[in-house]
Amino acid sequence: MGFLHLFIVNKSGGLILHRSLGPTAPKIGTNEWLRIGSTFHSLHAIAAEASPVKLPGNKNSGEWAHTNIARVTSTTFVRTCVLSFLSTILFLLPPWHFGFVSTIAGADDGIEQIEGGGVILRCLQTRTGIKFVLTAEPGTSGLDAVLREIYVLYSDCALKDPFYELEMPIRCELFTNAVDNLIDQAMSGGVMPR
Amino acid sequence: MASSKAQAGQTLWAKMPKANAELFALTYGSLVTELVRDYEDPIEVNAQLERIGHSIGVRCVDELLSKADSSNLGSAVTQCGNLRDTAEVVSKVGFRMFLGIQAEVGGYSQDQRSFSIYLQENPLSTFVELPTIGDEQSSSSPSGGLDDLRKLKYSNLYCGVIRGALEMVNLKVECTIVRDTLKGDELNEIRVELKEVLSDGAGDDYKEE
Repeated sequence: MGFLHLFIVNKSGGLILHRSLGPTAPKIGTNEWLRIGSTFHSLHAIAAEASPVKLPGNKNSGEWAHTNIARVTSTTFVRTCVLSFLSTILFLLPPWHFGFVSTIAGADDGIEQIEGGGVILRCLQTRTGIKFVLTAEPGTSGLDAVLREIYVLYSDCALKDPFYELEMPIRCELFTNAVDNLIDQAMSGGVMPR
Repeated sequence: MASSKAQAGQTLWAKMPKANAELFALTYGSLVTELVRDYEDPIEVNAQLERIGHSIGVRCVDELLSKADSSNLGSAVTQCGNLRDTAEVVSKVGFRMFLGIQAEVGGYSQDQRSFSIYLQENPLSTFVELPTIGDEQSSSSPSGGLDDLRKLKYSNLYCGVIRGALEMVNLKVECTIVRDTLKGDELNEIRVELKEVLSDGAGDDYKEE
């Protein structure tokens, strides 16, 4: 049991941080990470579109839908991509599920969790469209709590750095150190909500 | 519902690190006077304050959302079904959490697309007196900087913050300060008008026919 990787994807699908969290994490190059980040972003968007159920916590739901004057898109992707990705998901990743009963915070559409034989992946999508994704070995607990705390650290350390530009890769030592501490803490006894 | 938001605001405020209110007011004051010196035209100063506020807003919205989540205040704060909810969160949670002040919300328009935020106290303008019209006539300031400061919206930063924060959660709004205690009104009123609800996801162009 243990955490493997953390990656953060901005709202347009760009990878803004990737970090290996333990000695057992496989080594993955930066280029691969960029691909994984944007692929996950696309899958996430497709999942949200493909889901037949719209929940009140979804991003485009509630009375807002009726008060729409104009629909403006912030994420776009080509339809052929959609189809090929959809078939990939459906045939290659059977044990995944949409989180219909949501325990995780943020906007609850799209992919919340993917479980595989050797890995679990948990995603927190914030209301502002950033995705915090954590991968861990099966059986690791407290992923949700860690993700929420990472979001807090992001808002405290990265966003308050006046030289950090939104949507850009995070190169902020304060943040990465805080994440490392958080993971140590989580491994040694669980994260307490503040 | 409303009281739970007020409570959430209180909880979050309690957890925030505090800064000295005088330092805060004076820092803002020096920022505004610097802008007045640099731009001279109060209309331009208003625009700059709004712009600064916007940059603050797009960042601080995440702080509100993340801390509400991590304090288990969850969906009451972070899920708004309509503009009324949003208005409540901005005033009861946002203003409380970041400024520690009580903000009231009201004045909803018929179509529920605009509302007002009322501030009894304004921590930005604690020590401020705008030069009055009488002063202006007697002043012989050649810079011209002070002569129409009546057009200055001293707390226009708020408008930018609200616009920036709501923009990040896909609500395009316009904010204006309509009443200002600095100009003799009995309270501060910020009018927020919803312009557009942006939507995430694939555009209509990419949907199945």
